[in-house]
Amino acid sequence: MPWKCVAQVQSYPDSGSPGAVATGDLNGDGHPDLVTANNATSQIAVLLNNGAGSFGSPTFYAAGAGVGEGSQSIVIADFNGDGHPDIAAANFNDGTISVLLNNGNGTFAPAATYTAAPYPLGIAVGDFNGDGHLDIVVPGQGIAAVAVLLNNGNGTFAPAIRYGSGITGDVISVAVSDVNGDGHPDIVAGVSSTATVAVLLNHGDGTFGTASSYNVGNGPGAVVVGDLNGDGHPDIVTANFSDNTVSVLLNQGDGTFASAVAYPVGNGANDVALGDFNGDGHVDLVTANYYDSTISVLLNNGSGNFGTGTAYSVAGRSLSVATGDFNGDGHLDIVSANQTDTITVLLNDSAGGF
Amino acid sequence: MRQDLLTLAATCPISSDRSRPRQELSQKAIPISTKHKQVQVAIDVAEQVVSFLRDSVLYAA
Repeated sequence: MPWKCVAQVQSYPDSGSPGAVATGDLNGDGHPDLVTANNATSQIAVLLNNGAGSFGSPTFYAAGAGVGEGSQSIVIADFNGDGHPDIAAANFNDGTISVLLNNGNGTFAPAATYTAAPYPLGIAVGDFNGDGHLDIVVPGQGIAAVAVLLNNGNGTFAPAIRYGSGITGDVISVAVSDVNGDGHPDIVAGVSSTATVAVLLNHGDGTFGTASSYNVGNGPGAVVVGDLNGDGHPDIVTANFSDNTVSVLLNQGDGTFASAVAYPVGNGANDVALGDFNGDGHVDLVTANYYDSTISVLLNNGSGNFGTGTAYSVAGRSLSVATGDFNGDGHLDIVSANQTDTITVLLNDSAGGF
Repeated sequence: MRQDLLTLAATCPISSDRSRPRQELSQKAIPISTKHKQVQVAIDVAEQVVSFLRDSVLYAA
């Protein structure tokens, strides 16, 4: 994989060994901000964008403020419908999720914590029951199931309901998308012990049927869904930690998927994110490579096939990646959460390089 | 400019605790999960024994 000198990289101390990162405009200023889940310190860190693609010091929300133990994965979404994006984190150590509602200015109320599933390693959202409110799904360890928490309509959540029919191993990642085009969001789960993804179709009322499984690489620690070949149907990508690959599964148009195609990435691919980095209208991908302390960017040729990845160094072992136009230049940038108490922001050179 | 010249070193104290890759955490979690299941089974059995003894005492009284 070719290496490339990078033009615009900045790293920021996070002070919490961030294990996951997400982006969203938390304070409503039109610029995407950052939030990290810091597993080792059970903290959530919020870094506000100053508007030019650099970030202020992190504000921490800690276990003492209601955040669960071992926050491992994180997502940004408006759970109470007030127009301000909120935060939800999956807490590995105590099997909970923590929901932090936005005060409207990028600060957050103390977390509400809900029992979810044992040792959750991921989190995703979707309006599963079609009531107009975003629900949450997390994977569980040792239960061969995912856990769905339905939104009560005000940003609080009902007790978790487990769905595991057809799942035969430990789920370590989840994503949500309407894969069969019926208007109802479905769940895609990465199953570590069987090196598969399980697709759970929504019955339309927020309950889910027996999973269909597809082989992927070993250790699918992250899964994302997006339309890679432009056919209008969402496809699946997994980051395979033990194989140093990503698996791409193209949707056959009806919510079933073709056999996975593997593409090499860096060593220890722990996360994957999608975005059109070179502005050609096709969805590209980026992986977080733990052992290499790099990210890999793979550009889409337009048909859902990907070229050789380009690796970019970051300031520590990369555990998570996310994308956003951080400096407002119209080009998608990348952020990496690094184990070594830092996040690294890689600004797009406007041609899909970093 | 090279990335290593631009990267700003983390100046915060380096914690001995670190977040871990999901795959590593998963492998650590499975034995813990199994252990929790075994403990829960033991608790369930103990609760049944206590319930039986309580019922027996009440019946005898």
